[in-house]
Amino acid sequence: MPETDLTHPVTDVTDLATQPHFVADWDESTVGEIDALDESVPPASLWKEAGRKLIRRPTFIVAALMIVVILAVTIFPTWFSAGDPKAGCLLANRFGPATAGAPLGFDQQGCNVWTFIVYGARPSVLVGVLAMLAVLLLGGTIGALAGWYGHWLDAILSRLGDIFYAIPTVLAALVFLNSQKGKGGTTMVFLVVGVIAVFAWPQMARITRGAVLSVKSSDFITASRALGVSNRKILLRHVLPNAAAPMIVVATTSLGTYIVLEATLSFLGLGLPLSMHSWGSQVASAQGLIRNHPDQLFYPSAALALTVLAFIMLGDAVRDALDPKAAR
Amino acid sequence: MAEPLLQVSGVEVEFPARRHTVHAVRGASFTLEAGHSLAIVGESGSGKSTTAHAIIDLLPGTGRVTGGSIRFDGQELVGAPKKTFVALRGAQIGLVPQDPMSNLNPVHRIGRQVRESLKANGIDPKRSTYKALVSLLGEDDIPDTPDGRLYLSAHGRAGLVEELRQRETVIVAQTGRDAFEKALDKELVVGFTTRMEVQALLHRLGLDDAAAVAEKYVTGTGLNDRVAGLLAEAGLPDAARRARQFPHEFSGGMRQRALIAMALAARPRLLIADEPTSALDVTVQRQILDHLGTLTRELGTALLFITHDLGLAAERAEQLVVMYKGRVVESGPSLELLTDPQHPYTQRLVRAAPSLASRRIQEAKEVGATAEVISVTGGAAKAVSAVEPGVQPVLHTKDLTKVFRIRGARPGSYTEFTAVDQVDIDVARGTTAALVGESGSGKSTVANMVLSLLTPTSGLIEFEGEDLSKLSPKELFDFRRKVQVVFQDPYGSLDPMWSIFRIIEEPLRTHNVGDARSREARVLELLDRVALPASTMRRYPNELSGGQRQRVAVARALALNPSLVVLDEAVSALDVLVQAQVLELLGELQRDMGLTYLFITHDLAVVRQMADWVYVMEKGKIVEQGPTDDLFDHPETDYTKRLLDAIPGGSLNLGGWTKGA
Amino acid sequence: MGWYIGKRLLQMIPVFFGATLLVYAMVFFIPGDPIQAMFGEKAVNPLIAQQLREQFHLDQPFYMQYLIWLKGIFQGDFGMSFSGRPVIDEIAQAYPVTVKLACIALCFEAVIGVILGVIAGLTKGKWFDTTALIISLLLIAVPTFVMGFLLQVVLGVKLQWFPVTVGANQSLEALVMPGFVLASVSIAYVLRLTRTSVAENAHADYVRTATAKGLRRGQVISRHILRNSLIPVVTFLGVDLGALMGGAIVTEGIFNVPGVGNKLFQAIMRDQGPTIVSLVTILVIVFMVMSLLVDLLYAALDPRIRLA
Repeated sequence: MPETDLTHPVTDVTDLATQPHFVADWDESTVGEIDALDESVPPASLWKEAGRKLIRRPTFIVAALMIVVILAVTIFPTWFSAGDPKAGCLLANRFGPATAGAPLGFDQQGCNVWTFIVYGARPSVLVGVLAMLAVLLLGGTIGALAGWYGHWLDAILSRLGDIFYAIPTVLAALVFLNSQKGKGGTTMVFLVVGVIAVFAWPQMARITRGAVLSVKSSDFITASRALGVSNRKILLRHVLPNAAAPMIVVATTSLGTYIVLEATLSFLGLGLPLSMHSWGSQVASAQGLIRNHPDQLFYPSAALALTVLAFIMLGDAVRDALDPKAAR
Repeated sequence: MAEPLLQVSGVEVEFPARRHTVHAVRGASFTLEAGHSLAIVGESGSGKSTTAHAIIDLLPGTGRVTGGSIRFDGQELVGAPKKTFVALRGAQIGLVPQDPMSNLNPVHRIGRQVRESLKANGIDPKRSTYKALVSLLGEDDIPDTPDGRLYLSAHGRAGLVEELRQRETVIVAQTGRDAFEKALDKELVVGFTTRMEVQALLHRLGLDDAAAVAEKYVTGTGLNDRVAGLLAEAGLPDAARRARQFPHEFSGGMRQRALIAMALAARPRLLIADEPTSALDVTVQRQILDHLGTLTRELGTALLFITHDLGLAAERAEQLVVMYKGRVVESGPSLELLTDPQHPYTQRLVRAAPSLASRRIQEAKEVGATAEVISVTGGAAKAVSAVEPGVQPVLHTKDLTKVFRIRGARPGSYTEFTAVDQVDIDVARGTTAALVGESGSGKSTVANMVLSLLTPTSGLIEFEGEDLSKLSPKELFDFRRKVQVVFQDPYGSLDPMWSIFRIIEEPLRTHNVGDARSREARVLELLDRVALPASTMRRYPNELSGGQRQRVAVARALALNPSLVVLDEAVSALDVLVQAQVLELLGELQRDMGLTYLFITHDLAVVRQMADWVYVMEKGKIVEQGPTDDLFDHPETDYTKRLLDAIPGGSLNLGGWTKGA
Repeated sequence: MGWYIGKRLLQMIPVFFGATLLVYAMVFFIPGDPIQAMFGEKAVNPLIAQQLREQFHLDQPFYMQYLIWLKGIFQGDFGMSFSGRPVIDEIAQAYPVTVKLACIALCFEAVIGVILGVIAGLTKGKWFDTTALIISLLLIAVPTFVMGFLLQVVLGVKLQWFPVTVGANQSLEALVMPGFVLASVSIAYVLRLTRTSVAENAHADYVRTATAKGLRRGQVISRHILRNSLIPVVTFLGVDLGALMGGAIVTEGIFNVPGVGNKLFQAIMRDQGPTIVSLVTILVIVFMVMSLLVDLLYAALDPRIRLA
């Protein structure tokens, strides 16, 4: 039994009287193995965990359902509405009421409004998705190179980004597309996608660069360098997968923005040609009916807004799932 | 008997979450008398901070007290309205938070943040309201009571100094020049020195009209002078100027002093100090804790101290409460708990605490105990070099220097900063050399140069006799195979996207060792070596605890059978028990595999358990070196002495300890 | 500070040349004959056409045209539009309306976005927060032109609260509706940014410390949470003002506001190269100066930021 030093200055006798040595029951709090691994929990990568979090979010469920419908309409328009939108336009049906085959009635030219709405999905979604991929590729590559290699490359690429960032995308797209008037539908899709990519990449590049820079300073990167792993391999195997989350978030969120951009350009008459029935150009052609037939303006607008809403909500849900800070 | 200041009994704290409620504190009980001190000790997640926060209703997020009773000065706090807490906080109960970096608002000046503490609690250093009341009652003298002191203002000080200067010859003749100068220089602190103190000082200086002079010049201060006084009281030099600065212009220690000034501004009766110094360097830590101890003693403030360091707790508090997984497992007088721990958990903690272990070695030696407690270093009593003459060291540096250029605001302008200054290090095969220093000493820069991740500005690094600067890319690649590293942060050193298998396999794959099957076998073998189950290899870093991750990092470092492993603060971020476990593992591996370690740390207590040879670094230079025991027993430089003094538990008398070790 | 501004101005030079060259190139390669465009369907006298070509340097190669134009810019000469008026006059005429509109839009963003965002951030997870988030989603999802028409129909045509279009009547009342439409998407972003920032700061350690000092909840919110979390919001507003100053092609078009955006759109539709380039140049300069000011503002608001 070791001696208790009662003369020690900090322990005086009154304390001992009021505060006896208390010991909890041993079995009440069993002392576990130090730092043992709980093997009962199934292994899960960060992506898997993010996926689990994602499918529990109500926003994601709503957005996913909407997007499934939108994609179905985009890929198989004939499932939802028979035939070419231009076929079956009868002037006799001008502003006609809803019928079985035309739940939204008829427009100025006596065409089926519903068919137009259905066929308008494809160009919008197509441009949105392609533009997102193009921006992801262009901005992602430039941002990753700037962030990873740094120094003069970073300086040059950052200035380059500033140049494209300084000109508003809509404006640049208008000026460019104005010189391409009269091209065919498919060509215009690629031109619109191209011009969006060329002027919208700086934002993605900034995000990627920032993400790469923050990963770059991690210890596991230093550890790989100390192992002798080559620069390029570190970038591809360690840095990019770790920088992917913010890139994906920005990409999904901006998908909706690109759809709006295409609609805006088409609305101004410089985007996709009328023959593609973009919702934007549908709104433009119904513009004059604002006082007497505002419903004609409403249907394509609503279709557009719902589509954008679905993608923005998807972006929100993805961000909440991937960003630990946004979770709570 | 009067009711204790703070009585916590059977407190339960829960954090309701969507899936399952976290029961953070389960029936915690303890008592703290006014003016006394008590420490809650526990690992992270033990519920020690949660208990403290429950007292002043500062539980984060969804946390709430679901049971038990907390009585402060006879008042029940569980279920009390918000109003009660607003009144108690600051005025009756102060809080010194854990991390000085994040606890000051970065956009407000320090002075303003201290001033807030006074204003929020209705403290008026000028006592103008009180004065008004007194004059209303027709009395003209204001008594200088302890709870309503009058402080010296900047203006009053100027007047007083002038007055004293006029009487200089008289005073100097009576009490001598030294006392006079010292009084002017040190003892008249704006916003801090009271009328009574000034009167006493003047009396000492031999003024017969001391009371009248003190009354004339000490008439109370404005808020700003008092703020400066509070900062000075917390040990901040040049307080008036410092008060006008922003937090980012302060060092960690200075910030913590500012936080202490804030917590004590309204003279609370209880001060909760939540790991107040764990983010600071050891020497700073010691200064601040000493200061905090003195202050609370002088002011009669009760101290509730939260810490993970048992040695520190025992040294700083009269009573100890040990918490484990939300429960109090043991409590009682500090020394009794240390010398006679009853609960198995406390026993484990006492055994593992590095500060106590180091202390134990010390005392065992003083008692003249046998060599089995002392780690023996080959017996050479006064060795001058880490390596015996004629034997080639694994690592040898000569005049190693690194100068960083810090870019100035003007283009092209820069200042030079010598991070590492002519460092000579030798590491003998199969031994552990420790490089000890505080933050900014340049020890990690040395590590990065040794790992060839940073090019030295000048000097030589030889690894197994080969000059690192002369290696061809091919040879450098081979060098990287032989030298491995384990970093401090267990959360940052493993790629979160990679499975544990891929992480441990990466070195093998990079250096083309074996085929897929033999590599998998090797990974399994390594996991076994670090005492992790084989199933770990399918897991990801985010599923592992800090200690487990660190063991994975060790496994990765061992994959290629390295000649040298650099341990860069490898155990500093871990809880005590886990830290002991990893240290033990490292020792075992060294014995079995003949490993050589370069151990980089700020923690001298750990060094004592680990190292054969110690290099002490200060401001880029090696200031002292020697065999571990020599250095600990006979430190030569002041810096080393200060570092050793700063190991918590130094003042403890663990007499008769040897039983448990 | 001075060095920082100098460095930033230096960095602007390549951006300025790059951006103007880019726009110039896009305009230059517009197919069709601008001279012919000036005369519409009428036949053009070849001699006059030749004269005009020389006057507008259309006979020079691309880079020469750019250099000639650049020389003009540095002499303060923004050139003539094809309609014969100095471009600078057209800008001077159009700019005040655009600035007015931008300021109205900024007020909407600051007032609605910040107030809703602060409340949402402080009550994160409660019904108000959810409602505010849904509103922000809708504001982002509804494209500007749709929002424009929607308000025109409801507030203009049906309720007749506001004039449907602006035109020559540039009163505050007429500009309120276009101002809101212009701001709508940004309101949502300001709301979200404020909300995130407030919610994050509300959990910051220094906020807990402030509470522990004995401050009342209201004091903690106003002195610590708001002051800190509005820094990024203010900078966002600054950047957005820079973008708004660039004129709003869609909004100004729908509401027939005779501002810079409208001028630009007309210039584009009529292939008026010089006008386009000069207008865009001014916008780029305004944008760059605004971002510099925003950075300086940021440094002024946050003492930690050292400009270097």
